[in-house]
Amino acid sequence: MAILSNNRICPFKEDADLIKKIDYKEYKFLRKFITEQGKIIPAHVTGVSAKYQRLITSEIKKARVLALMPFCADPRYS
Amino acid sequence: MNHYETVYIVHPAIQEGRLNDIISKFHNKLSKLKGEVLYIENWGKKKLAYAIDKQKYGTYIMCQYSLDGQNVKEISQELELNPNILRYLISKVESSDIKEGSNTLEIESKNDDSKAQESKNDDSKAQESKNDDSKAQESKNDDSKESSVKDDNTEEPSKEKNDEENSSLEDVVDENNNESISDDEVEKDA
Repeated sequence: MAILSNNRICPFKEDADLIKKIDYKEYKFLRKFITEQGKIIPAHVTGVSAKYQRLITSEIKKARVLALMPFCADPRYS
Repeated sequence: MNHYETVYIVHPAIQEGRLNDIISKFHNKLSKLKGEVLYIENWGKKKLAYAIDKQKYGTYIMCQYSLDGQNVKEISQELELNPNILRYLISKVESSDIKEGSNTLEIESKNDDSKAQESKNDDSKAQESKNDDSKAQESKNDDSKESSVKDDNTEEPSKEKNDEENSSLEDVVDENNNESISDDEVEKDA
């Protein structure tokens, strides 16, 4: 689920090691940035800076092509 | 020469032997195009986030290689035309992103049973059906054997009861076990 933060500090500016994890192969990490439905959470909710939000969206879309992440989570699919 | 990374999903029904054929075919194509395999990794069988060609599982293979940019089209064509590859993704990576490790795939040796199944799968369908029939017969034979063994077990405790009173409690436990087993068998039959 989402990283819901009120202070809105970019997690990647706090911890530079996380930047390496923005990769479609690290799809388990990228799951933090999608909703249960599979939608990408907007940056103003997660507090991710625009630079890294651009990377995240492109990597999530790559992971979707490879069926590592859902385009749209179907509750009937098991 | 640029560095590229390809992840492709192989059909889940394909076992080790044919999986190796597919991987080696891909590598041959790469070597024909003067590419060089730098790293390869088998992610194993994973559940897909959504069904592709009605398949819910797939075997993921990740491969990093160096190749001329002009030849990427031919590689993608090779992957596209293989019906056993459900999906693939070619992406350009920096040379610093290439993982260090072996460029030959170490296939994990699974149980011997799986290999035996593979060899059967390679045979024709008619033979498979025959095998299935024989298997069914075998299973029937096994059932009969088990039932006979159980009869022996049920007889033995009764003898022991006659011999010693102290062992009667243990015998009761044994009988209970036998009953439970018989219940399981009923469930299997059902």
